[in-house]
Amino acid sequence: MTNVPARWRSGWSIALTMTLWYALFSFGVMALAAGILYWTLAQSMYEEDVRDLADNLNNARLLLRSAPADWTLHPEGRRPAWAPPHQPEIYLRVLRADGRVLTETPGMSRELPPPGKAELATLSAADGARHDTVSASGQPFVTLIVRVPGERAADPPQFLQVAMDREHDEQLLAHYRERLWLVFGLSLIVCVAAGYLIARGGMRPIEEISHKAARIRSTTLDERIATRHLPVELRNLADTFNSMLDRLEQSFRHISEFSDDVAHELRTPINNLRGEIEVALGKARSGEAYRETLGSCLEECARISRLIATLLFLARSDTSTHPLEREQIDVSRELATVEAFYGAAAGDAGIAMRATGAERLQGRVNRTLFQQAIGNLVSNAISHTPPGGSITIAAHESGAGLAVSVEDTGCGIAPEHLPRVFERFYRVDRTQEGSAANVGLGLAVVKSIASRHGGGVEIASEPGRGTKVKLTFPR
Amino acid sequence: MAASRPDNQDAAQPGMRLLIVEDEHKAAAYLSRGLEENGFVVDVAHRGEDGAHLARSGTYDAIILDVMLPGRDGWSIIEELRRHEIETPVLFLTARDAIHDRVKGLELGADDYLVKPFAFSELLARLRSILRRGRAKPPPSLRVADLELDAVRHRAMRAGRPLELTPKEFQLLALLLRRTGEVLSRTLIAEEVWDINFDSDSNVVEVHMRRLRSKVDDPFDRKLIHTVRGVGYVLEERS
Repeated sequence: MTNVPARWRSGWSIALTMTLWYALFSFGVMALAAGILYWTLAQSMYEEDVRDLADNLNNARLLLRSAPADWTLHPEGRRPAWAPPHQPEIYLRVLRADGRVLTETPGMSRELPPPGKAELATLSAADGARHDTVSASGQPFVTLIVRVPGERAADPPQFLQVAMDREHDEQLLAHYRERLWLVFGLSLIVCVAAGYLIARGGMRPIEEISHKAARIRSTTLDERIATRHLPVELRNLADTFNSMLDRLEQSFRHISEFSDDVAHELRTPINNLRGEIEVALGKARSGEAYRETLGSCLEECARISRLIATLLFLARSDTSTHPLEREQIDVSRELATVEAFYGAAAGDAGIAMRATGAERLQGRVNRTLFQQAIGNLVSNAISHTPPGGSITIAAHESGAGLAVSVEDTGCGIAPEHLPRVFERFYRVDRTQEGSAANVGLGLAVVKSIASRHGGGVEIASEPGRGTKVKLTFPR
Repeated sequence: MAASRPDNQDAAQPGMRLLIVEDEHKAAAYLSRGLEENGFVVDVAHRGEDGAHLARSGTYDAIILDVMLPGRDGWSIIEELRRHEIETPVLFLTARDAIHDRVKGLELGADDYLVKPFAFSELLARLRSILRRGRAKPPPSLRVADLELDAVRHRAMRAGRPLELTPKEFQLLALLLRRTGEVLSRTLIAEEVWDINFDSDSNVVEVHMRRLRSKVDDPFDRKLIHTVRGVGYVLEERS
């Protein structure tokens, strides 16, 4: 499982996802606001109606008290005096405790049947009861009913019921809702469009980076992504990208230089071969002369073979995934072996060589590669140390593992060359080019051997005083 | 046996039969010519199928087998031979020196291998070493012309006079004497005498050889150690 958030895993477009979330969120906020407003409106309209109804009820109660007789005699069909003059939606009814209707607004019984005796009995003296009901024809009504005590204590109580047809309010609200849906629809479209534009705008720098990156080829590796106008979040990404390009460009340059060097190094011996053979075949010669030519050709072949072997070794070390074959070695004995082998050559060059190493110092290394690393270093030291100088090979156990150093009192290496001496084909003295022994791979091989062991190599040098190379082989 | 060699032909017993399976005609041609000149009787097969057939039917003392062959590769030939319990020594040639290639060859029952490009002298040395395996050790006393070496007492004499040699010089001389008539490469000498196993790309062996010669040859008129340019060194009596 990767730790990428689940919603990105399916490869959704960021712009699309952002648009959706933006639209959903802003639409939600708007819907909530509109809903609250609508609810407030409906509520206050209802309260207004109830207040209106209560006023009517109070008026009617006062009239009923002042002229109770009028009520009972009121003939059907005549508008009573207490009726609110311009409010046809208000209905009124007077009942006795037994449920008999004394009088009512014409047509009221059709819409709202009178309450039964049991319902009236539950009503207390003081408060009225409020009900929201739906009339027989489906109109929304709100009703209020109160108990009106008789003038004298002996008089039976009467009940006064007022009702209001809220159809008009409902129509108003329905109209309002229709408008609201329209606004919702429009704003949804606007939200999606705006969200998309905003998301795209935010994404544009990424697209620019991607376009720029897509245009970079091996021939235009020097191009970089301009970071000045980029938003802060993306500048980091672009910087990372640019530094990757830096490294790529550098490796590319190295590879191309490397191929150049390889071609050059191969060209020299092959040119020698070809020339020698051509000249030899140019006229009849003695057997001895042919032998001489063939011997020389063979030397060139050996040079080519060695170069190829070394290059292959380096190439494989870089990419090798095979574990190194290691064995337990007696380090002092190996150093003595190298000393014995190179001692004669050093002696001929007037150089004193000695190997020092702690007794019974052990190491777990690849023996052949270990020999080769030390041998290359000693061979280098011999060719760079003047007569009368000395070479010391030393080994000791350090915290990091086995450390072996080769130190000479030779001509040294100028500081500007030091960082590059382990590069392939790098030669401090370019005038030595063409000498068969020095191709400039010796130190590269040493470094490669150290890395294969998981170790490293350090070089310290002082021009005119000498050079010390230290190899470490971790345990 | 080595001390009494009349010439370099007897490195192998006369008439030892070799089979070369190599698809590259030029390589097969120079190998067979070189080996015939060194006293072997050589058969050549250019195709894997023919090679396998010859190897199974013929009686060879050793087989030189290229691994990369058209149609049928060298591995399968070794496998087939070993499956039929034909234990002819096999030296395989490969252009790829990846470690698992070598290990594979040796696991399949090959006796030794060489990575192309190789020196012919190297091939000859390895072939002789394969053929020598299991035979009696050379006698402790070696002699060529008036040079005599007593391996047991670590003493070398020339024309009756003792030679003052360091232990390594003695080992070097012993190697040359043991392989009289064989041209030994610098790499092989470094390996056998100093136990230096990498191709040292230097004239270090030359220096040692020069020192040895100053003791063995310089005081005498008849030179026994010869340089073969581009190949290495040989100790033999030349007229």
